[in-house]
Amino acid sequence: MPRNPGDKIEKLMGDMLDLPKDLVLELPRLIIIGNKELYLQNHKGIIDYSHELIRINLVRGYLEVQGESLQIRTIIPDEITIAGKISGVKFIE
Amino acid sequence: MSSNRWIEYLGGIITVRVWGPYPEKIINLALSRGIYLSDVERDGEYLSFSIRRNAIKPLENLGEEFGYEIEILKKQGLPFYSRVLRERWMLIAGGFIFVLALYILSSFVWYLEIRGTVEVKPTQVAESVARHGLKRWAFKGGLDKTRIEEGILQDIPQLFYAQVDIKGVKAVVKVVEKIFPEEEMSGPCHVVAGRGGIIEEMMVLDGNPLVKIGDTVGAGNILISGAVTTESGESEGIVPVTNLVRARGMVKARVWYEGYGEAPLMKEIITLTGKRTEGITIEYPGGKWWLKSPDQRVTSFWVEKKTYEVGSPWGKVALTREVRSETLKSTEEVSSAKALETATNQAMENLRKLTGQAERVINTQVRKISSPSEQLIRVKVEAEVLEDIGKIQPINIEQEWPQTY
Repeated sequence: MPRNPGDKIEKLMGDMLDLPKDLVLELPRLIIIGNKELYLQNHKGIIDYSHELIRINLVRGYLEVQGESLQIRTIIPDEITIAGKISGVKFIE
Repeated sequence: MSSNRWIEYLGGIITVRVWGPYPEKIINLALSRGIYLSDVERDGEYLSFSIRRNAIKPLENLGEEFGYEIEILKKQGLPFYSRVLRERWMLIAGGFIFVLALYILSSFVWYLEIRGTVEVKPTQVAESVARHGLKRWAFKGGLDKTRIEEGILQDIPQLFYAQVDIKGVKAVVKVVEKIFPEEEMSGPCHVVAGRGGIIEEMMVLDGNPLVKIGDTVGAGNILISGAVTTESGESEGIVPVTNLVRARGMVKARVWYEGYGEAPLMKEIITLTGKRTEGITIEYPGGKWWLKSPDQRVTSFWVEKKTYEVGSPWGKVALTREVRSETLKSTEEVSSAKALETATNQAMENLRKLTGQAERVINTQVRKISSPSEQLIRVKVEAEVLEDIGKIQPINIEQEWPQTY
């Protein structure tokens, strides 16, 4: 949920103009291929990284990826690709 | 490896191991400096990942700045092989010379094949294309296929179509010959007997009939002459005039044909014993090599062959697999009635081939001509048929009427 007035205006404009929220509000855009690969846009860095759990920082809160043999395949400033056996994805505010 | 990875491979990839307090931090720091990371692995307190070759300096600076130890584990990619390649320059030169030689050699015509000739000799076509530049060892770059095709058609008027195909080092010239209609004889002609016989029916359209119904004629005898003499009996002193025409007409005659057939009284039977032996050979220009020899004890056999051929600059190389099935010969007695029937059928078959053009078969007679001592039955079938025996023959004016020539 937007926290400050600037965010509220952005959300309102986005809703009025029907703009994609990942562009307007920098919300994470997530693609999961089966339970083998996860592709995330609009991340803000890695908080925690192990083979069982990866915590990824977002604009608001963070994303928790749980699984086995997890590996960061590629990571660039805006995008991250995680491979392994994914068992759960959780958004934490 | 994806295409992106290939591009990175060309630029060079370095795999590093990093350790220090809170290793995840180095990932975020690297990202903030625009360093692209891949294959990030966590191994206890160590973190290993791959970066591009040009990112190693900024990463080392980061490590110094924030107290991380960095160890290079592996260097991959083309830039790291340059030293190896410099040391083995002969290998590079050899590869380059090989490619160059291949390119140069494939720029020439090695083989010339001519297809589709029937009456025209292939050598004639080969000479024609050679005149227009297409011959063995000709440089392919200088050949104009359209010009060669047009040149062949101009050189050899009997050809209707020509196509030049150059595939690899082989040039194939395909030609189609013209089919001319049979020329009808228009000059003065006789109608002569194609074969001997007794004349049964006759109809003269043009010319002077020299025979009549019931006459016996031999092959080559003139039936209707092309020399027509107009006699003038009204006034004396006028010399008869001979006009030469194209004789036309139909002359049907009774002619005789003979068909011959024979059948042995002892029949040879070949049976398979069930024993099989296999042989594999490689045939190359100038020799043959057995990869696997068949059992030489099998002397009487029926063979089944399968050949795979491959062309090479030195000729054809063929791999042949042959399976020999052993056979056993035995003889069986055939009854004379059965042999007679077989011989008669054979004789009738041969006769039908001869009388195929006949209009009507008048009479057929079967005669056994073998003697009792012979081990076979021989039969002759005689047929009396009615057919048109007339054949057009041009008049040789120079020989027959030298005074008018």
